[in-house]
Amino acid sequence: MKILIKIDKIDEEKNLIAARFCGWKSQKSIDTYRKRMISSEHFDRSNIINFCEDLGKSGSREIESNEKDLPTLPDNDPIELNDEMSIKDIIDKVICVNYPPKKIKKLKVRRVEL
Amino acid sequence: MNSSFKKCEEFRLCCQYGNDKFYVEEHEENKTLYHIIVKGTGRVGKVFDDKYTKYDEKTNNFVDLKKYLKSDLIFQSYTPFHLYGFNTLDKNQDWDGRLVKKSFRGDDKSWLICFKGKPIVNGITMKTMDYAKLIEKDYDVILNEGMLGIFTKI
Repeated sequence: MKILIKIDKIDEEKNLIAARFCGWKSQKSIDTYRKRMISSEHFDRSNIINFCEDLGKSGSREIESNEKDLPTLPDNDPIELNDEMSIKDIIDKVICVNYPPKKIKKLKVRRVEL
Repeated sequence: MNSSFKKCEEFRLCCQYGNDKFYVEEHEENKTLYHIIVKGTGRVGKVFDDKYTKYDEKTNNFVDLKKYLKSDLIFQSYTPFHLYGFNTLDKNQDWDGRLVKKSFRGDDKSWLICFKGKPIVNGITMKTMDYAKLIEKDYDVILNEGMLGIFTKI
């Protein structure tokens, strides 16, 4: 996933950055998105690409919250996944997963009585 | 490497599988008492230590890691691997673990966990990652080439 960033102000003393974030393919101007304050205290300043990528990492959370407010197209409404489903059950269905995938996943277990 | 975790009532289970050659775990995070290897071969040891424990899916597939609890660990796999970890919730809480080979008498301090296959216990077919709290009674086991671990709170 690529994201867009537009920095408004940088406060070097407080290590704060005011910036706007949006998805790469957003159909709205980045200027219409809310400005966010991001702490750059732990950002990698060794080069501009690493710095911007760290800023993007912080900003990706903002994009998620922006996207949550948007309506889902009726055709894209995903089905609810449950543990009982097989792969065949999801063919031709819209499903929704986290992307990028969570680093730590939930292990599926089942308690049984013997 | 893919990792997944699940906290159960009195312990935590983890699962790791993949093709990664090396994996390091810091001692603060490490509460793994046993590793159960269902696929692959490799070794585990303290970081920078020349002593290590070999493991593989056939001959040493139930590895006691208690001696490494306070150490930073490094895992090296020689082949694609799939393993489970049995973790204590509290480093002060010890557990005794072993693989089940035949029918046994249970007790109310133990849990039975299926790591592989479809073993039948008291007429019930278990599948991978099914677990059960045991009580004081006999458990009739047909392993069916499956892998069952029993873990008892000490």
